[in-house]
Amino acid sequence: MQDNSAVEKIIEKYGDMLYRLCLIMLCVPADAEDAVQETVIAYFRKAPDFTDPEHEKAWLITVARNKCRSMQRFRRNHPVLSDEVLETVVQSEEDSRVIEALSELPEKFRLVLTLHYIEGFKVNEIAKMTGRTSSAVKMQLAKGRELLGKKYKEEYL
Amino acid sequence: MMNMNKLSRAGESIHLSEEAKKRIIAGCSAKLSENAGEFTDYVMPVERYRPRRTARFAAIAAAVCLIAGGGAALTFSRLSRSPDDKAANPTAGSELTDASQTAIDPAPRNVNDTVIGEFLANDFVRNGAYGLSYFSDIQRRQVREVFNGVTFTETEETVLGDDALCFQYQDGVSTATVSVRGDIVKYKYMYGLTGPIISKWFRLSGNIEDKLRDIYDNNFLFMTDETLYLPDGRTIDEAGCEKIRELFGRYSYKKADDMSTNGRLEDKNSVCLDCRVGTNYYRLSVCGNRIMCRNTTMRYRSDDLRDFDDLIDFSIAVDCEDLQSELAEIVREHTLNTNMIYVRFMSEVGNSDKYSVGCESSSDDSELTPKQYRGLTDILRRLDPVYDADFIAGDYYEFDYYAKEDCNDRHYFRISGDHIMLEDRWFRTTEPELCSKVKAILSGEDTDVSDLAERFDNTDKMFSLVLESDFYVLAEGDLDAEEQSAIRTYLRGLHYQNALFAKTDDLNSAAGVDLHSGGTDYSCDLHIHGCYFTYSLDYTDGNGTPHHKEQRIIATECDDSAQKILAVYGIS
Repeated sequence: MQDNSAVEKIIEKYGDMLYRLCLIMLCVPADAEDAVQETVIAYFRKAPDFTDPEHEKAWLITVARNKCRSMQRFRRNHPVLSDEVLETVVQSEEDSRVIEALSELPEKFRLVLTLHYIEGFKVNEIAKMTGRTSSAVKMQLAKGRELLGKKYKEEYL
Repeated sequence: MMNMNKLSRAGESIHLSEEAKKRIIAGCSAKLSENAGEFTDYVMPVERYRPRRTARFAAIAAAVCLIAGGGAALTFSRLSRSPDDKAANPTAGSELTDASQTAIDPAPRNVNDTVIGEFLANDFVRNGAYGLSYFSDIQRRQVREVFNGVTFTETEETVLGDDALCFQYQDGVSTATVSVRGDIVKYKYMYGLTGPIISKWFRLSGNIEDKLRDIYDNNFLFMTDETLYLPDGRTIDEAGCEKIRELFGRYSYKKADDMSTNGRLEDKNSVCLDCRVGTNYYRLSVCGNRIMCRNTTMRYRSDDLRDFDDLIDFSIAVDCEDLQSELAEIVREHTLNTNMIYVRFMSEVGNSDKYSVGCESSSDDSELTPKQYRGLTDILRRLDPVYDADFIAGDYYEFDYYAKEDCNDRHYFRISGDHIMLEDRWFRTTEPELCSKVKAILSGEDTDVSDLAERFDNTDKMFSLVLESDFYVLAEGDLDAEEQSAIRTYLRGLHYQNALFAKTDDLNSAAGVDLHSGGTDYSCDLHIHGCYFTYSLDYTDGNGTPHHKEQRIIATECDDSAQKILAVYGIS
């Protein structure tokens, strides 16, 4: 059994990063919090021996991504209306628009763009986390950039 | 193009609030305490096995709704209207608000009446043993008429039993429930999960329980839009469904006390239809003027080992001589010979670009490699389904499949033994070793990567490999579909032969054009200078071992391929 301090430590260290990722994947703050919680629980129950902090971080991201996918799948089949909107989370209006445009992209683009531009991972690191090749990640970044720019321009400029 | 710094800044502005952190920490601690790391007794949430409704079926689905009557059914197991139920009957809320205005006395009689009146002004559903059922328009009006004119006097008396009649409405935030026992009514209103709760008891001016129970028990609601199936999996066409609804809507019904033919009407003489209501499946068996309804939901929950004897059967008498003959006639004329589920599935599989395989462990959900994808597709295309398999339990592989450009719109199917589940229904297949073959493909036993190497060594095949994925000019970004098509056509039209270069002839550094192509398990960079092509291929074999190969070729009968490609791209 874990005491609160161990959980707190992980939340303090990775909470924001995981929340960002989950929020961008799920778009609903409450769902994102749930996904973070499930990820942390998985960490305490199933985490392997990590070789270094980067390994740990990558593992958490992979698990969070899969939790989000499971929740997306569940949500598709159990649709609910939510009053929560991204504006409540993102303070600046412009930031909110950018995130909103991002959240409207297909999942694969959202994921790589978030990991690369927000979390600062390199292409090969993202490739390892997502089980894709570097070239596939490069392609998705290029395509994602284009789609994001297009969406942002169409809807907000 | 958008400046990516904006994205970076926007993303970094997202933080967990202190309250959220506390919630998460408390949630983690509670859950970790519940089951300190033990997964041996881990049971997947029931929701995972609920029948699912996919986007393509949402278009044709709404609801067939059965209201099961009888005292035995009135043990209340669920108190909330699930999103599934809501999805199954999305219009249930709005359609009755107007009608209710005429059913309720518009003049408020006293505060207590107003409370109940507000309740009745909303859409409401009946809370039944197997989830919630919806009232028909007629039934709602009947219920309102029973309440109309009745006076409510607040009381301290509390006489509800487990079998009291109970109905409620829920608008997503608030829930109101009215329970009736004799001449006592309990009204309970709850706002959200943690909001204020109003709970009041009233004594009515008369005993309305019997009248309400009569409405409940003698109702058989057959709503529109759900596709109907025969037990062998074949589908009734749209016109047939419409005629059947019309047929069922023509008569009135009365709950029958006996279960005719010893509780089983599914003999060769009866006409059986399967239908779905939200998360539940029902089978209607019509024999003469009698309908038997059976909740068959458990059949479709592959991992649910609960005994089928738990299912509730009930029998309804129809006020006609012979419903069965008319129904049989419609079914005979309107049954589609092909199984539409299967046809749609195969069509989607054929058009999808990716599969991913999902396992129960949350961390090993991954995309299939092209090799696995091809292998799985080959198998699926060969399958002939055997309709209506009752599959109860067992290990399975679950796959998502989705279009490349819209991977949010995922569908799924499961394979287990020689069974395949499509759209919540299990089919047996004519491929007895189906699961073993899938397992071999997924485990890599059936993965031979020699074809990649072979394709690399064979120039024509190499180019087909390069060109089978989307590709782009490295220096400039993506090519659009038209540009890619033009370049594909151009490259395919060339003839190549091996080229040998002196060490000084370093084409990689020469000015030219770089194309890049890649799939999930390979990556190819192509450098083109003049008529010379240098390409490198990186791929990972089935054992996860990376490989790298390089080769140079020259295009014959060509002056300057690089310039022509650049011209196609419009940057020459």
